[in-house]
Amino acid sequence: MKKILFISFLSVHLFVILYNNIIVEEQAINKCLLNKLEDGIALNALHKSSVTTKLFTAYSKYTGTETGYGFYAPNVSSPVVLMLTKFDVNGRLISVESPAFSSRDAMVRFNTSLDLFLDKVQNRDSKYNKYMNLVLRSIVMWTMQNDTNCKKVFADILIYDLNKNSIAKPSYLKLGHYEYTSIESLAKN
Amino acid sequence: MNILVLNLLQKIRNTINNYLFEDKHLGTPLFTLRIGLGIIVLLQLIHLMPDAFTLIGKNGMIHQDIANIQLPQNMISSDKLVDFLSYRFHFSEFESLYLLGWIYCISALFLIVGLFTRFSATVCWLLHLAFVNSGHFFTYGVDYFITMLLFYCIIFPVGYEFSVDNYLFRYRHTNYTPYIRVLQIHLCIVYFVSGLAKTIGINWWNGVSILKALCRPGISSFHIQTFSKFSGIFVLIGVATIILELLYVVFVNYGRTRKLWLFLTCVMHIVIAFCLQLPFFAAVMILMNVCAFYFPTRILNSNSQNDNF
Repeated sequence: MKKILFISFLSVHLFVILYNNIIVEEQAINKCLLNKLEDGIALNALHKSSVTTKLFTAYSKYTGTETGYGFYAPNVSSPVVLMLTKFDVNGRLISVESPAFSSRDAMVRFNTSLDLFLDKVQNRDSKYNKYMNLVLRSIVMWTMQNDTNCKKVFADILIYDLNKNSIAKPSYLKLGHYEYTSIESLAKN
Repeated sequence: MNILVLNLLQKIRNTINNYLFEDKHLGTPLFTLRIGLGIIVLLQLIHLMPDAFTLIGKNGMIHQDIANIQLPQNMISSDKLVDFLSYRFHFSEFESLYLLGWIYCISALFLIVGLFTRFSATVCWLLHLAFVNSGHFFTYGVDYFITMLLFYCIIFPVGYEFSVDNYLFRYRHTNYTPYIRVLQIHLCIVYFVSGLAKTIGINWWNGVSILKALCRPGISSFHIQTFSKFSGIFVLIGVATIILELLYVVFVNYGRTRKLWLFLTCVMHIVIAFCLQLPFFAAVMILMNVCAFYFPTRILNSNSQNDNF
């Protein structure tokens, strides 16, 4: 009985791991080789039944198997940099910097999360874009909260352009420029 | 014809039975997994503590109201736990997160010493999930692996040896092989998929991926111009990484090459720890590799069976 239970668990567990990887790999192939941003056949097949989707997603999330294992693949994406230019209430420049953290791991986590803005550029879905705008606004609000002098912020999303032809001379490309002003500053002006 | 098919099926059944249930592994890999994982969880908590409110606080860098939009309703999160504690016990957000952090820390300590192992692993797993879900914008590979290993610690008999539990409850001998096989199969899938995915991308064949991974502003600051002079080495490293990962499943399962492949894989992870600034990820992967493949198996006598499972 214990053996049957174990084999059942192993079968379900391995199926979930493999299926999640098939989803991720299919999307990677679509994006990398076919230049298409699509969910793919595997994900669409899963979404056919809402009960299956819920069960599958819950199991994947609770067991940590929801991720694809194609780390840094098919290609390592160019790093995205968020540059915040801070101004005081009179419009004087305070600093130009990326958000700072106390720990190295938090810094790595933040920099990894910036890849989502790369998706924002490639993704034409307006809902996703609105959501990412909200995320960016939250980051800026957090910056203003941590620096009481800061009343205006320019947020620039840059990409560190590094390819075969530019190895010796990489450059930053600007993906987006956003301006945020605090209510106090607006009232003053 | 029928007899042939039946014989073949019987052979397959025996092979699977022997592979999964033959009692030939000692308990060492599993208690190493328990202790190693507990230490990694503790160190990660201590390391990330100063940034906890920035990453998962209600008014953190990404407000929890915004982060929760992408979180399925049935998922546990530290934000929900904080709400519960403030509603029931009138705790502030600071007090709630502090309390959750302490419970997480104590459960990891209990896991290390093997006290109420399954219960401690469950508490640790749920709190880890709660923290990861609240900070899901800031997650990367290591969080998934820790979740998965904590889940394994609940299911596997990781507290049967070198634990306070064993001293208190005097466990009978159990067959560890099936659990170690799960780890081995999982690792083989991880590396095979990782290697396969890398073969699709052109940048792993021309060395650019290695360069890009090494030169990430804000994380690692190697001098790109110096690196550009050695582009041939990066091609070599890129191709070697693909071969190492893609053929892991073959060479690590073959007795004579197992130790060599394990060593090369660990070297790759140590390089990742230093160059990509991912020490926790490297530590988890090395721990998994060591637990799955490093420890020798028991020499079986002729009447050794798989009845213990």
